[in-house]
Amino acid sequence: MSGFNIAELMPFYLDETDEHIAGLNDALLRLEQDPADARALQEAFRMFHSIKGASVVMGFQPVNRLTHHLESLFEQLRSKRRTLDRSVLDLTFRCLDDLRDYHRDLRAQGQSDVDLSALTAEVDATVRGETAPSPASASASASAPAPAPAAAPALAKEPEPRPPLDRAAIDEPNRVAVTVVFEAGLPLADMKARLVLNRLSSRGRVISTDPPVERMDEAHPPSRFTVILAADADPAELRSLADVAGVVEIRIDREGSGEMEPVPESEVASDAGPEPGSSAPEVSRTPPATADRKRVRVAETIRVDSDRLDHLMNLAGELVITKARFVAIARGLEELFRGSSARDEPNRIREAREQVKALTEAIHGLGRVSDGLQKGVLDTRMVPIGPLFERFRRVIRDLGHSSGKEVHLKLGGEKTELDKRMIDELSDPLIHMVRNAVDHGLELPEERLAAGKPRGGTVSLQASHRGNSVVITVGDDGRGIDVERLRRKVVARGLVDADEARGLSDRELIAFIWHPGLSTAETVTEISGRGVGMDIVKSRIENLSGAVDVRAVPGQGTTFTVRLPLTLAIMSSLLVRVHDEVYAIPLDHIDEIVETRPGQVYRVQGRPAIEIRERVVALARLDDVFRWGGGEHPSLRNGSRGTSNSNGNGEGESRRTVVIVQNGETTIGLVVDELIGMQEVVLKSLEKNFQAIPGLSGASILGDGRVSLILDLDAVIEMLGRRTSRRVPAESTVNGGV
Amino acid sequence: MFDGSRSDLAAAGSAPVPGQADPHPHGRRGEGPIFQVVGFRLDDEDYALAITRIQEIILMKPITRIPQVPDFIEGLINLRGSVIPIVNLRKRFGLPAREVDEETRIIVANVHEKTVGCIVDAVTQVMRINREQIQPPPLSVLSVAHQSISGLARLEDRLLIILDIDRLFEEQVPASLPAG
Repeated sequence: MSGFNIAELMPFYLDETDEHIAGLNDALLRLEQDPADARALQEAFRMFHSIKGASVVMGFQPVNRLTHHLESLFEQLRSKRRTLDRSVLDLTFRCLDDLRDYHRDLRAQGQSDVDLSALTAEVDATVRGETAPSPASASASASAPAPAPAAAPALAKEPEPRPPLDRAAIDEPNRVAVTVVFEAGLPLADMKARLVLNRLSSRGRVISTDPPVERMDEAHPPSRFTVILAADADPAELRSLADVAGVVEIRIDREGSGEMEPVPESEVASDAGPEPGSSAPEVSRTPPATADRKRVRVAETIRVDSDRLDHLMNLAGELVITKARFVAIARGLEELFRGSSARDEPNRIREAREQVKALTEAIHGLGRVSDGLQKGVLDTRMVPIGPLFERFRRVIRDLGHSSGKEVHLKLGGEKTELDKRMIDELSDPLIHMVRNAVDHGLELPEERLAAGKPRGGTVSLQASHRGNSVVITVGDDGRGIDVERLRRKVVARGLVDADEARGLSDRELIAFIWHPGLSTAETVTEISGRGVGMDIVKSRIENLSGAVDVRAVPGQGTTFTVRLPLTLAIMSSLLVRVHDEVYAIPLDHIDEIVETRPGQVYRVQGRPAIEIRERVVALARLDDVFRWGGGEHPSLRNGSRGTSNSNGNGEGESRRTVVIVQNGETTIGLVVDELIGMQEVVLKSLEKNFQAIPGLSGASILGDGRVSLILDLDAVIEMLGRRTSRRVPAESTVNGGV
Repeated sequence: MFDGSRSDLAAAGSAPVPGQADPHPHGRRGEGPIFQVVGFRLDDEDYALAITRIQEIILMKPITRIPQVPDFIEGLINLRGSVIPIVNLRKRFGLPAREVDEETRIIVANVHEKTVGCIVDAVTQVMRINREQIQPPPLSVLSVAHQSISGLARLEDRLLIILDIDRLFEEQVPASLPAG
């Protein structure tokens, strides 16, 4: 191991191990749902193996021992010598928790005091009791840890890890190739392809596409598009995801194990890399590096899309060019003024003027580059919130088990990007809120059934960009907040006197949940109800210059809304034209894009609607919610109605382009005049130089320098809902141009 | 309400505009009774804004119309990466509309820490004005403009209407107009 520095590898080891632990949690949750999930089992085995291998290199013996036994355990599961029961799952989950704690300490202090030996012994005992793998024996060994006879025989019959080829072969069946064939001459086929990709990526990891995404553009629209992804989804589900308007054929191939070369997957590679030999001799060896490791906090690392770095590189290049321009101008000016007086003045002035002009241009160029650099650097800190949300699957599982409630987790807006620091800081407050939702919000299954609700409760985590902020909501469909109880409690705790309490509105009362020492739970539980938590949540979020709010509807649920400031947000958007303006619709909100023929438009209570996949979706135009200068759009005012608005024009002949959007609850079809394409847009606040506008979350600058408007779809859908309830005569409003 | 960052014009004091309570002269920036304004034209009337508040003057460029705002807000433009609103001063003052021509300019000014653009018919020139020349606007002027006029100045044969840019934008636009 000469010439390689353990300390340098540490950040990579920690990041990779954290990822593996997160991945293991995920795999175990899937196994809990479906113990026959061979793929999840395989993944779990492989990840334990990876951690084991890496920990040998790093010299973390306790980790190595534990994962070694875990690997054995999973080998038994994999070879069907043992069935996955609750006790094994629980044991594994406990191991993961301790492994996580161990590495957290390692990250914070450069060494860890977490003792893994008890769990190691427990796992070892479970493994060795493999002939009688009943839950009883497993739980027995759990209660009486570490019988610990000689470890050597256990090691001896330890199955060696599979050679890489074998593993790769087992990996293969998870790869699915989804091919869609587009209608001939389909407009914007490239965009449809991206849409398909987007939808598929929600169900699996995309390995590659054909043609590659970066090679697709309007000039080279694909006639067919293949996505190869690692997914455990069943073909029917993939098919429905790939089925967007304009697709005439969908093929789904599970790629067989024999036909393909091992995938150039990083996991497989790293798997085989650091662990070439058998593990047994490594275990007993103490790498010298361990001894002189000092308590050093490990540097934080961040993963950055290489695209973003490329962008920064380009800007750095431009910076150099700009500098050269300044040099040239300076030289020119110098020459001009050094010139002899023989040169006539008017000429000199003219030249000087030119130079000044060039200088102004160069300054503008520099401004652009420096702005770009600033943004680019900020961008490198932006990471999606998805991984944080994913962690809650495990949290929900544990909470469900310990509270005796059935809980489902619903996630949304996982692609919303936030500053890395924010994400790190958000973890604890979110856990508190989710706990609160399960513990106080959701009812027991019987209570729910009695209230006419589904047995299982739902906790939802959603993130979205809204204006210049990120909004994260934690919602449940439980009982809401019992305001009267709260009123009594507030008085009982002496926070206000009885008279005052009577005068408090529901909202004012609910605000008391942020008060330290107030809890609404019926009983104090292990999870929450100790009256700490919510006040901490509030202060944590305020520390991030955010705000948190709570709304509750009796019998329907409670929603916490966290709003965090965002100096800069980048959104993947679909650009569309409506009238003369370009609007950006956040991709998160888009379900699909369809073209409708007049015959497909129905009327429901006088309002147009279309049917998509057996679902009736109301059509709307921005004209239904927006007024320009108090009236209709100027392009419609001067009799030029039909021209600028041909797509929305009438029930007559023309086709309409409809973007199907949703806010998680309501789906509407937004009729647009033209699709322009997808683009990452940088959100600019309207408030900075102007004011907030309902329905718009901001503006953005297009490639040609014009300003586009970013739709706040939550607000637009809400505005549409309000308008609908007011029942404006339909005919005049729906198709601005009719 | 008005702090030291207020324009020379506002500090003129001699113009008895109600609410103009800042009497102490600006030591360094005021520099006595002379101050500079940028003159511009609107419907054959001469207007002026204090030069200290003007960031730049630009040519007309494509404006993106925005919903839910009054008529006189023309929309948004991109000013070197910043998104700024554009006010049509003709519409703001209830003057008849006019086609954009090669004289049309956008005056970019700083108001309450925000940057806004104003469309004017033409920018005429930079003028030096002695505060003593300034007189209060006649009470008979009863237009939107009245509230934002900080004074009138007679220059040779012309009457110059000096605008107070802060007051022009003070009265905030209602956030949403009735949508029905």
